[in-house]
Amino acid sequence: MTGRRDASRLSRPGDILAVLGGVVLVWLLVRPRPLPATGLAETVSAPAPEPTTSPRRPVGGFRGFYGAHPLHLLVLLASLALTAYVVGFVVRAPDSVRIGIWFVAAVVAHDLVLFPLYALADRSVSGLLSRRPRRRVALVPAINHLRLPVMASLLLLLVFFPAILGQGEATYLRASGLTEGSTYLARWLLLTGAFFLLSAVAYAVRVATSGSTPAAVHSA
Amino acid sequence: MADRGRHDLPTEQDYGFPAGLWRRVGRRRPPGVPSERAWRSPLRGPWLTAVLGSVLLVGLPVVVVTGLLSYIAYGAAPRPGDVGFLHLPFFDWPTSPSWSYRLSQGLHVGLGLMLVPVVLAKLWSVIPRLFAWPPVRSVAQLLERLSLGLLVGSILFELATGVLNIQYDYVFGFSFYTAHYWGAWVFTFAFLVHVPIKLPVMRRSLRSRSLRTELRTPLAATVPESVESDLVAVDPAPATLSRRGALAVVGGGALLVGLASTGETIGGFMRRVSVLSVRGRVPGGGPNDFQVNRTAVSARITDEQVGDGWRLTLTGGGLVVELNRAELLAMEQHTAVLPIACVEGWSSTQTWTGVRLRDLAGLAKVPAPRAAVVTSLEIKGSFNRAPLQSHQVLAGDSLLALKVNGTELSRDHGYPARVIVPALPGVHNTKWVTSIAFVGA
Repeated sequence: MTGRRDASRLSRPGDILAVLGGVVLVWLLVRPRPLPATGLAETVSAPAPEPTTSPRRPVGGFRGFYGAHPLHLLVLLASLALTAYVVGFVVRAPDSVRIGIWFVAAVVAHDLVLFPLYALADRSVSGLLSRRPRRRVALVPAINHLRLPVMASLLLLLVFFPAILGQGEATYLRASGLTEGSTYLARWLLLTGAFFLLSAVAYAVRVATSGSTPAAVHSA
Repeated sequence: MADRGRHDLPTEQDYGFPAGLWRRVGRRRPPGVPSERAWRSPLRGPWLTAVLGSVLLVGLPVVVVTGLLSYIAYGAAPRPGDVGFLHLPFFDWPTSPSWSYRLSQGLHVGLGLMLVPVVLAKLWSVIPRLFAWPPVRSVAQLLERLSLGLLVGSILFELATGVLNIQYDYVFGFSFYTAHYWGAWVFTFAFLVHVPIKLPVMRRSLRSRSLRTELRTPLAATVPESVESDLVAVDPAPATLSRRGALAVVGGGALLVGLASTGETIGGFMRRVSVLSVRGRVPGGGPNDFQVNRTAVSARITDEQVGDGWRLTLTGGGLVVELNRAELLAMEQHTAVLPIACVEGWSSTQTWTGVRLRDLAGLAKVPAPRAAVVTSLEIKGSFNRAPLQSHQVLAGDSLLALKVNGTELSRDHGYPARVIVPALPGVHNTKWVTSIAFVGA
């Protein structure tokens, strides 16, 4: 309330700098026209102005040295400085190391575990399914009839795994007075079963109707 | 295809200082880093990335802003406490409309969950860049990739902590409020730099193909995007899913998660649809059978505390007023239909009856309080005491509720008396109230 209002007033130089940085960012966001070809974007995915008509402009000076427009540097430094300001608060938290570990673990878990696993699984199964085309069945690709129910089921597991696996059971009971038991596991299994069943029925219908019109199966 | 020929591929000229170093690194691709030819999906390309990016460009700011609004809604007791200047401008969270917190926090959690498949698809669409070699060609790229690491790390961190917290899995072992709040700011600052850097590429990529045409293109006609880009496969495999099919999968995933979860706040029929939401269940058919946030047992409320000896103590006007339940019931009773909405995204709308808080303030001889502090019988517990702001005490529908849906409050819902203030975050609607201290102007 009043005390908090005082605290929220801009009193420190860092605050003012940060607000100025914010203003620059907002300005960049609301600028009506796209950035010029020499602008911010021309770094990681550097596009040439019009390569068909003119070869890439020779790069020198600041751009050649740094690799992008000076604005790129300013905006990134502002962002990183503000992030450092945030980190300053986090390190004061009692479990800051744990928070940091979870932050890094989240990236590792997605980029180096989850992604390789699902990519590998998809590639292996696609490979198997496309290996031996046999008569009529091969006319209807099975891959998406497998992919879709698997994706639906795994997405629900990913988002609701604490409930499905009963991970928060004790806390949930204290909070809500209700028990989880295997309620959510059972529901997830039923949903998974339904996804596969629906997919199987759809596949069966497509296989049955594909005999006379093989072209139709490609119109997915 | 006006943009055909524009290329997003890095060239020799992209090497900045110190070029020798970046080139040397580039020649030593470590084992395990896949080559460019390993990325074979014919669907990856700047257009698909831009479409997914534009969904997130709209959706994620809504999630961030509603999250920051929740911080404001916590009023004089926000969590975490000291956040420097990193908060929305403070304002008195209004008590009208009564559904504002329900909507705001329902959006925060519901939309946040629904964006999980979109975030995963977006990351899938750009993942070849993670393994590009050399990883950087200039200081500019180095800084940008550092910022991207913060962007990806923070969004995954926020989604993971949010998903765990709403399902009572506190396996992370740190303060959720602290971690989730600061994670949001790391994300915000990385997002605010990612958007202006990528906006021109996004616009150009969106214009490079027509959405309408894509939605009419079947699998048989699905070929890689015709722009040169590091996202487009060098050696594409035949398409096994059309581009519209991929968008349908992502959209369908978002819809599926939404159906499975949002009934916990939309209520009604949706409660039966949201079968995976731990807060979507209706425990029974009675007047007190709606979701409880903290049971009397876990708050260690004893029979003696809530028996005949229970008194409500009012202070503030220089005198101490004590009231028993019969005296409270003898005062003017007011009935209001109000939602109680939790920071976890679920809510429940009930008909509450009790004494107006402003009448109690009058009784305590503080008719225009600057604030009030409500204390619970609960001894331990981080929400056993909650501050209210002036307008929250004075609002006509702010009650010390004695009844719900025409019957006595159950003990789990706060018997003998609980606070219910319109649009106040659930945990601040103190249960098992023992005293209210009004702070004079």
